[in-house]
Amino acid sequence: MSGNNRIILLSVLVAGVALPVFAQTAAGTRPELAGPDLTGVYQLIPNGVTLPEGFKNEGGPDRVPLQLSALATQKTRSPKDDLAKLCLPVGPFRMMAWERNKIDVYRSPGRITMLFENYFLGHMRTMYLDRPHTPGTNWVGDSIARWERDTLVVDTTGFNEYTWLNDAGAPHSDALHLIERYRLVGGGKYLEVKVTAEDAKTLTRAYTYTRYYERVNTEIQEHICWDDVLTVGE
Amino acid sequence: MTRTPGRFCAAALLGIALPALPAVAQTPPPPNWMEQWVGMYGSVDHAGKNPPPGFKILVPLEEEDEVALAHSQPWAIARREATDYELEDLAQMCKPSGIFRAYNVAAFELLVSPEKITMIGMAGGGIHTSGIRRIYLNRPHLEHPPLTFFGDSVGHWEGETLVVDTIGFNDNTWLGQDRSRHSNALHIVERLRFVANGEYLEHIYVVDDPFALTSPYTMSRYHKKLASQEPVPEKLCEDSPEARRAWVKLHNRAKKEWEETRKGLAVKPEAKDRERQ
Repeated sequence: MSGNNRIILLSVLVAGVALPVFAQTAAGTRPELAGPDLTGVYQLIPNGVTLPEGFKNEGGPDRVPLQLSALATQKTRSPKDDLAKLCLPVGPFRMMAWERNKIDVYRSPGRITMLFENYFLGHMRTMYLDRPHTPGTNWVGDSIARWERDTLVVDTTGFNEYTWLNDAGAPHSDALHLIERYRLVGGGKYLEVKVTAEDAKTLTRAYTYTRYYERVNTEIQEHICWDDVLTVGE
Repeated sequence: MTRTPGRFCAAALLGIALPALPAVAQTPPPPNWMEQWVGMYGSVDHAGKNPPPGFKILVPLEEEDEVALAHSQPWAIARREATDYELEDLAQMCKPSGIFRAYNVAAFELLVSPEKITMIGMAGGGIHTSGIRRIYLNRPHLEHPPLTFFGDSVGHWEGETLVVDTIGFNDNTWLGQDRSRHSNALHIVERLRFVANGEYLEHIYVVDDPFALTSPYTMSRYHKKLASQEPVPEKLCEDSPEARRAWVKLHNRAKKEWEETRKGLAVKPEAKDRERQ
């Protein structure tokens, strides 16, 4: 290799290492700025619809591959005990595939926040970019996030025992671990959401479904779950 | 976007109402407003019930109902007296308790986008009782807003002050902590701006209700801007399905009992009452 080529090669190698480092330093304590702006309101597209760009929803919570013991547990569960009927959060694995789900995404220092039009079932998800997992359990889990180029990768653990993996009552354990990948596609028109569930105690393997949300200009409406549910819990 | 004459005529022909310009001195948003406004804010209690030096809290928490009462029409006072706290307390019903109860007793978070500012309350049952309130910056009022717990809020800038105009309230919320009633003609104008070296968000409310109040009155609050690392606590009205089921049974039973009692007490308005209305 000639001397000039060696210098060029060296410069390229140095730049390749240095540029990402500089980007991270520039973001500094504002890690939410290190990726594309996902702020906006999005509406889940229906299943079975193929978008002009060729995108379509694939898979879903009803297809999780359950271990035999988990299947046995599912059989003991009744639809009348579904948290959705009690206006309680159904958990992100079900909610991100919930029919007609509409989300409202924001970014703020150190985090991405996801609100839901149906906030009874979806609750509120705060995805922290500036800290590791914290102990404890709750309905939507503890979410931490990082950027992989243009994709927001969200890692969630710490789910409470009450939520189900699907409408049929598929169980999860305390080992439930969700990995979600969010990115804008179609020139920013759609939010592609890939949700992977891992649970060594209830699933035979990791399972992923894909959903597409369309960016919309319509507003989030007030929606009180109690007004729809007449005899809750009876 | 320029409004060409052709487009304007077309709109007029189709009877589409073009947004009316506000009658006040609207200015563009302050530069970097999103950076300044996003974050967590303390309630009056959180800030120690003391406004920043040189500022005064108008109608503090403990005086809200007294002031509302002093401004209420007779029917609104009677309605308050007929209100059963336990059964009609929205907070206990896991419903949004309204503007006057959401941000006065605990911290709240402001999230921002170019089109709106969203207030997330954290008192009581979190987003369920303190609610999620969206203030739209990109449009005027809806022509026929649905009647909601937080109303239809639209904001515009006057220099560094955000002026928020809200109508379209349902009549289920209270003007204070203790059953002061309003109608769905409630109209609140808020002026928000940073004071005391940007450390506090000043929040001035002018409360008016031509149907329920004899005249408008003004309240003010000062919310300290908090360190943004403070996590948003997760809160629900009940912690488990069992607790939720138990509450629903209790609530349904109490509601049934109260309706039975009311049937016995129901009085038809007399002719002279109708005249006053």
